Amino acid sequence: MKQTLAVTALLAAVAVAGLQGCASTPAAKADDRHRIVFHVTDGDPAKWNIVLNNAGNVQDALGRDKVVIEIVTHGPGINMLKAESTVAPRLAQALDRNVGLYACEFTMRQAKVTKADMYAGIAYAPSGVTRIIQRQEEGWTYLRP
Amino acid sequence: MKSFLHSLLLVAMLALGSIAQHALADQGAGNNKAKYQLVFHVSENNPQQWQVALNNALAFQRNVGKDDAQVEIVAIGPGLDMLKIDSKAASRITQALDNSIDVVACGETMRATKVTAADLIGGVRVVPGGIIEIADRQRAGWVYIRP
Repeated sequence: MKQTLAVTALLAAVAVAGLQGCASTPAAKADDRHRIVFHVTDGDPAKWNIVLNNAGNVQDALGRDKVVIEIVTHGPGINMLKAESTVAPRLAQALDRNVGLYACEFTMRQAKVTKADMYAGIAYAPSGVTRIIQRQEEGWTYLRP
Repeated sequence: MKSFLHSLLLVAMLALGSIAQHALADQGAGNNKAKYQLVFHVSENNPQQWQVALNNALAFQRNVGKDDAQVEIVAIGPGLDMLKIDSKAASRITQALDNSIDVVACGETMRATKVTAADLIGGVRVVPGGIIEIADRQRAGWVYIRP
């Protein structure tokens, strides 16, 4: 009986050791891609060019399949995501490259802007600030260019 | 049966040993790390903005003690201008370097604006990409500061 108990305890120890090894490996693999959220509140084309350059450079340097990028904008920044935006050609380029462009719907309501006014293909966040908070809580890199 | 038990015991001891080793290694890494690790991001080329960033970095270091603070300032885009030899912030940047603050230039920006390492203040470190440097630091647990 004593022997059986000892064997059971040992088996349990080995099983725990095995589980620990397994648990860390897949998690590390799933986390392999870089995840970056850019926070932009400026309605200034020069700032937007910097942000879009940053995003493109990161994709080129790390490989597009190795990085997930979101640009979240609220406040005056949403003007640059409008259909008539001066950086519209660059927005098209970013969308082609799978960069997520998010406009804050809270700001849109305040500014009386509708989706019909916005550049086609962009995405929306109910609250830009909340989306940024969530991304940081999920472990994304936060950048404020 | 006895030999089976012995080998089982051996396997268990090896497994537990490897866990202990990992735990020790983690602890070791923790001990080598400064208590605070801060990465500052500066994209502006105006001396005032740099004054703020450098004041923040030096004051922080003074307040927590040099041994507990590892501080890095990454200059990207227009911010790179202030790391040039003729920069208006040159003396303050040299002061930061003398205080073991790591001042880092974005290689992507250098390439795009045709700036070489010879154009930069001595002691400035060049990395392939400033954004990636900041992303890597955040992944390693550094705190991101955007003055």
